[in-house]
Amino acid sequence: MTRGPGGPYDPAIWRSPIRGAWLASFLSVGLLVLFGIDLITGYLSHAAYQPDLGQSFSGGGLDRHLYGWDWPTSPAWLYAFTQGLHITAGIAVLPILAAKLWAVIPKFYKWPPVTCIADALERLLLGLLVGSGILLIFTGLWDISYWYTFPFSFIIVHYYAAWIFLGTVLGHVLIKLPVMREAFRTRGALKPLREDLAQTRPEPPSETTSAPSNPAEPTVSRRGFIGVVGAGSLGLVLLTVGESLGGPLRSIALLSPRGRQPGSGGPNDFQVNKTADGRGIKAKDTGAAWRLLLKGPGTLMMLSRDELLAMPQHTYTLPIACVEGWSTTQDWTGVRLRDLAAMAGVKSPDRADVESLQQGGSFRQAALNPGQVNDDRALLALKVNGADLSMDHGFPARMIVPALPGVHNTKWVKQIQFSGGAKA
Amino acid sequence: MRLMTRVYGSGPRHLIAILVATVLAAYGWTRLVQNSQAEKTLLWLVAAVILHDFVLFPVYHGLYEGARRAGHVRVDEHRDTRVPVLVHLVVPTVLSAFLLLTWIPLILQPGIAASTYQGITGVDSDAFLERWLLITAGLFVASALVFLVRSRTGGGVAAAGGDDPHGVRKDADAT
Repeated sequence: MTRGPGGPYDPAIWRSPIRGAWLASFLSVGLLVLFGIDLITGYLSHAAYQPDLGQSFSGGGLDRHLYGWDWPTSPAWLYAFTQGLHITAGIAVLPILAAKLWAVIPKFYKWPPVTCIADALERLLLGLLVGSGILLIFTGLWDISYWYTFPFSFIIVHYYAAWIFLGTVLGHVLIKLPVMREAFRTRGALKPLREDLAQTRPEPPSETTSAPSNPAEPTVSRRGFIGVVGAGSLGLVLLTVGESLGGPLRSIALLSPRGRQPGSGGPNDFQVNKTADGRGIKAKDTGAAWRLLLKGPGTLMMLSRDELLAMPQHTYTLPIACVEGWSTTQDWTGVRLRDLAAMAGVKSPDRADVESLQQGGSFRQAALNPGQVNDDRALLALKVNGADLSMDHGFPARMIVPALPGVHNTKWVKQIQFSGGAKA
Repeated sequence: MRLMTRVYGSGPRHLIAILVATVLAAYGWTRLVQNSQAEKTLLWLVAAVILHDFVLFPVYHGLYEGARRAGHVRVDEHRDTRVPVLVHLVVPTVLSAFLLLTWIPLILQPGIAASTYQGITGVDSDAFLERWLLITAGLFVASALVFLVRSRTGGGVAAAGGDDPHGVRKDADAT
């Protein structure tokens, strides 16, 4: 072996006796489960935004081929579930990723850094894997904390970095699976979890693993190490998951962006995403002069709020589920979209384009697929929990559609355009 | 096969893995280029690796080693409690650090984070720093209580400490 430049490149300084193939493999199982959940729910969320209706912000690519199917409206809690899982798993993964990087870091410093073509390519793959993994976790965390410090479009970068991550994870797993299988075969998949400090022994040193060549006496067992990492993961989940589950559990989400009740009670006291003030909605635009613009092929109507209230009203209990992972379930009352479509002369609607009074912002409009427009529970809501909507919740009227990503439930609706057939 | 090992350095399984990774990553990269987000993403990707390997890791590693050596000064000849004291300090520190790392924008509210939060949620974000400090204090108190119970009952504490004869030796890295 060539003599390295010393420092971290001297294998003898990496002395922790618990490092090795088993610890790295065991942590990898946790990472695979959590990152697997994140990849699946992440691609599902992209589907829920219906890129085929022009709502993916990047356009093109494989979007049309991968997501040419309609996001369903049942069960109504579908998006609350998949996205709550996405955020919860993403939060839980951080301690495990940190632990895994700690467990294998001696391998990052090897001398010479590259020995052959295969080695060079694998190092590049690992760099991309670690970089994209950290990028995904922190862009996600900072997006749900509203710290928009990244100089790029969150949606585009989070989504396409996930492709880089998916590829490098698959490659890494393919390469390392034999090491993992060997570690679990020789050391037992769970056996090291039963060993206390006195029974903790280093793994024999090896070129392919991070087992130390010069091990120190253990100060913690592998079980203890994994216990702390697991406690970190579980603790983060406990302090967060209440914002996804809602109800009284929200109050235990002490460290999460949506763990607090915004006001002091009342029918409109639930989580707000984008306040009326923050979005520049003026009282004069939502007052008595407000009219809903209803458009169909060759039809243009204007309806006042009173006229809408005079139509048949329907009440449903539905969640609003945000891409940020939090959700809140309320009783919504309003007019069925199907009834409005019929009024606009569209008896069998297959699309609705909804626009807000809001002047700017990426989500001032949204499009609905055929299943969404025709669902009985898809409403232009005028009331919530029996009271008029508050300004922050979209007065004079807002959309509420089951299982639709929260931000597509347009607030302060200005106009709805229906398309489809004139015959039922 | 032998030629492949000589030229490439590994077997076909390795090459297939690299190809799978390349195809999917190249798709993501191409789309980032088409959306004019590639350079910034690459910068952040590289920065993420550098920040972890050359900032975060050396810092926490250094802190741990510092605490190890500082702890050694207080070693009692008759009853070596150095290791458990260290463990009972490290565990709450690590747990608290995970919370901070995850919720830095809420807890420290850098830059305009506080006003952005207020504009979006309609609530202020003053409570988070206090909550994190209280949770951290709670973790240290709980850890101290467990330590007290363990040292009273003798469970594990003296034994675990006594097992470690390496207090004096210069250990660059031992956990």
